[in-house]
Amino acid sequence: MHYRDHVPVSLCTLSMNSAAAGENRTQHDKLDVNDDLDFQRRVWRFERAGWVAMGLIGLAGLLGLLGAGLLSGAESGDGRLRIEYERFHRHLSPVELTVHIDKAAIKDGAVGLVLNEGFADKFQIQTIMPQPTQWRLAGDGMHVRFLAADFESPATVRFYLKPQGYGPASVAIGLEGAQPLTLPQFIYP
Amino acid sequence: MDAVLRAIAIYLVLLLLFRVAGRRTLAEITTFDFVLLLIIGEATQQALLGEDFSVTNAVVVIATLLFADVMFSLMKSRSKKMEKVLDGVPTIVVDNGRCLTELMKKARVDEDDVMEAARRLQGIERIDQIKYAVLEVNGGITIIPYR
Repeated sequence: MHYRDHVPVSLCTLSMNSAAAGENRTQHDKLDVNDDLDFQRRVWRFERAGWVAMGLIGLAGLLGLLGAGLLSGAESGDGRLRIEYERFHRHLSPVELTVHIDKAAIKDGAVGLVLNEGFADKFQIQTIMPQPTQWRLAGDGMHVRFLAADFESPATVRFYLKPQGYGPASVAIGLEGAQPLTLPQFIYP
Repeated sequence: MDAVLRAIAIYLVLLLLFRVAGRRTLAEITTFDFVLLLIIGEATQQALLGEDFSVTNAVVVIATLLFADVMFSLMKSRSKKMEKVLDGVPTIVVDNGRCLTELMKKARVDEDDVMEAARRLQGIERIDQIKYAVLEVNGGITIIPYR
């Protein structure tokens, strides 16, 4: 028995003529076609699995698991500092990191932030708004200082960054002389 | 997040624009049509990728576009109406040897196009040998000769 005999059959109809389904199926054994229905069924199964995978990739992208988005946005803070950042980045895709600074962080008319080595390793700083007045190197990382007036509501510093490397980035940002906030991040290729 | 939304938006916009442009537009690709297609691709690319040239973004965008395409094809196979709306319907432009000039004009098909298809597909020599010519949904013309 030929394998095609197991396929359920109905008569091909267009909507105009509604002939009843029958079991007449011509044998195409004289047709020179290298078909392989078992293989084709496996291919179809593979395709369907692929559709689900594509849907999941789209969903993950939409949710922000593959780059900036809902589930990627994160926040970390202590009393004087609050940092908004993305957990997931993409290689060379511009991203913003926002630091909100409370007035309690002002010391001698300035605010000093410390960016650790992990930050410098994985991110190229495109711009900082406002521009820091001073850069200083130290063992614990880069110190950036901003002149600060006595502001009431928290002041905001925006970092415009470009992720350089790949994989996990151990970023820590803190105030000078205080425990830095660790901001675990990941850079997709 | 915006990569997925951009991809879906571009997909829908292109779907609409090419539906508006009509099926004859890119069916028989001339050199200029081909160049036009390339320019459209270039213009789309900017909107699709923005400043994000990462591999991840490419994967997300491509997966989203293909997924949208598969979903639309599934919708079309489930619903006749959807198929009509998205793909259009075939149009008979030569009926029993008579050219339906009004329809041909609307569909932007002329006798030369019909004859070209007839020569190419059936080796037909004269227009009176054509029984039916149908403008198919993909923009191509099919020919049924008198036997």
